[in-house]
Amino acid sequence: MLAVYKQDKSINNTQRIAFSKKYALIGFALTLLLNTSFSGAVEESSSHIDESKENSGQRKESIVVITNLMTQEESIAVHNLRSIFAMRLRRWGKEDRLEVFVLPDDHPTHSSFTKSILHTFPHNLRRIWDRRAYSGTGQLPNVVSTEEEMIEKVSNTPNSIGYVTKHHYRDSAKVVELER
Amino acid sequence: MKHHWQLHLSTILLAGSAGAVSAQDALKEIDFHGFATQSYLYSSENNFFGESSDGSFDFFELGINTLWAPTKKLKLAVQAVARDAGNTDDGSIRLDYGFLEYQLLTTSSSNTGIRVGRVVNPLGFYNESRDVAATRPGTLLPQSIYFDVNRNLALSSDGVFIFYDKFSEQNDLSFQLSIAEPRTRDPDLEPALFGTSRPGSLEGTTSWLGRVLYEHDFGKIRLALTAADLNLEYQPKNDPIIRDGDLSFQPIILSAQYNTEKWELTTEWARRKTELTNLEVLPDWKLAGTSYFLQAAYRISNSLTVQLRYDSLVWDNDDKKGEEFASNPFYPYPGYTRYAKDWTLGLRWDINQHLLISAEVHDIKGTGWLSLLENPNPAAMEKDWRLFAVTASVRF
Repeated sequence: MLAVYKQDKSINNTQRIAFSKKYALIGFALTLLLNTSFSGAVEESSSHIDESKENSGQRKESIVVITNLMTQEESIAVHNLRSIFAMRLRRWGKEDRLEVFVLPDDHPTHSSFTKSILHTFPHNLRRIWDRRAYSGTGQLPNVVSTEEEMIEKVSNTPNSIGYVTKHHYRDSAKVVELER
Repeated sequence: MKHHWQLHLSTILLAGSAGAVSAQDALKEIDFHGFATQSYLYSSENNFFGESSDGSFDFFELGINTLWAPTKKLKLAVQAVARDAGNTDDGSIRLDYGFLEYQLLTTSSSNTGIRVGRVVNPLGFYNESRDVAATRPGTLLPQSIYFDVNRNLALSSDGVFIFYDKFSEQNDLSFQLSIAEPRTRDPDLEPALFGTSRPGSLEGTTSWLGRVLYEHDFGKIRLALTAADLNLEYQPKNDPIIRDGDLSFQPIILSAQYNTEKWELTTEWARRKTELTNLEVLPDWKLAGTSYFLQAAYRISNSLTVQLRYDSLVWDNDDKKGEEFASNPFYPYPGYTRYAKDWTLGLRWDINQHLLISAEVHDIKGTGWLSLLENPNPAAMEKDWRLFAVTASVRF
C-alpha cells in the first residue's frame, strides 16, 4: 500500500514538471526552426539549381580534394580520407586536428564527392557523424553553403580540408593528390 | 548561416602562429549541439509513453551537449537531457553523459584511449545516441532489445571505458570495454523486477560491458558482438518484506547490417540472462529470454525512407507463451504479458540535416514491453493492440 501511495504522488509532480517543460520545448523547437533550418534550406536549394545546371554530366571527374596552402602533406590514401571525412580521425601525416569542411547533405557536389571519391553515400556519412556527435565521442564537420565559401574557408583556415568541383578551384588552396 | 556552432575566435591570428598551443587554440575547439523531439502516440488498447489510448503528447526529448578538446589528447564531453515519457520518465533534467577522454595513442590508422566518468554504453547498434530521433530506426526503437522502460540503466554508466579503433583500407575494427556501475534511477525499474515500487532502492555495483564492432567497406557491412554483466543490489532501507537482493543481468547481443544506396537491412538478436538472488523471503529466480528484430528500410528518394520491421520479445525461453506464468496463483498476470510480437511499418521524411518527421504503425500481439506504471492492472491489458506514433524532430 505504502508503495502505491508513493507512486501516485510522484506522478502528480511529474505531470506538473512535464507541463512547463513542454512550453520550453515548443519555444526551443520553433526558434531553431526559424533560425537555422528554413533560411538555410531556401539558401541551399537556390544555389543548387544554378550549380546542377552548370555541371550536369561530367561531375565525377571534376572534383578535387583541397587543403590549406600551409599543409605540408601533398597526397592522401582514400581510406585515410574516408576516416577524416567520417570525423573519426583528425590526423593526416604531420597534420593534426584537421578542420573538415563539407557542403550540405543534399548538395550535388557533396553527393558526387561521397559517391565517387569516398565510395559511400551522403546518408551514411550523416549517420556516422550523428552517432558520434550525440554520444560525446566525435564532432560534426563544418558545413558551408556554397563552393565559393568552401574555397574561401579552406584558403583561410590552417590545417583544413575540403573539396570543390574543378571549375570552382582557385590557387589560394592546394589540390591534394589521391593515392590509389 | 551557421550549420555548426563552432567558436572560431581567431583563425586569422592563428594562421600566423600555427602549431603553437595558445588559449585561443584551446577555446577554438568547443562544439555545442542540441536536439528536440515531440511525439504523438495513439494506441487502440493499453498505454505506452502516456495515456496513449486517448492520444498522448507526453513523449518529448530535449537535449544539449558540448564537447571541448583543450589539447590534442584531452576531451571533455557533457550532455544534459530532459525527457518525458508518460509515467516512465518525468521530464526532469539529468546528466546523460559527462566524461573526460584521454587519447593514449593516435596514428593515421588507429586511435586508442580511455574515458572516465559517465559514458554511454556501447550496446548493439542503436544505444549510444538513442534519444536522437534521427539516429533511431523509426520513431521508436525496437523495444525487444532497447527497452525504453529501463532507458537510463541501458544508456550510460559511471566508470572507466577503454577504446581501440583500427582503420584499414577495407576493414575497420572498433573495440570498447568498460568497468562501471549502472545507473538505476528509472521509475520503472522496481516495478519491472518486483511487480511494484518498493520502499528501498536499487543501486549499481561493479559491472562490465564490452563490444566489438567490425565494419567492411566503410559500413557497407556492419557486424557487432556485445556482451555485458550488469549488477544491481537492492538496499532495503525500511522495506518490511524484501530485506536484500542481488540482480545480475547478462545480455549477449549479435548485430548485423547490410547497406546499399537504396536498402538497409538490419537484424539484432539478444539472449538475456537475468538472475535475482539473495532475496531471503522469496525464492531466487533465473530467467533466460530471447529478443530479436528483422528490419528492412528502403530509400524512395534522398529524403523519404519506408521501413518494415518485425520485433519479437520472449521473457522466458522455457515458457514462451507465458502459460506456466499465468498459472501461478500469486501473480494473477495473463500469459501474454510475457511476450510481444510487433510488426511495424514506418515512413521517414528527412526534410534536411536538421529536420525530421517520421510516422509508424505497429500491430502488436502481447504486452511484454509495456510499463506496469502505465498499465497498473496487468489483467486489464489487451493482448492484441495497435500503436500509431508520429514524431517531429530538430537537431543542430
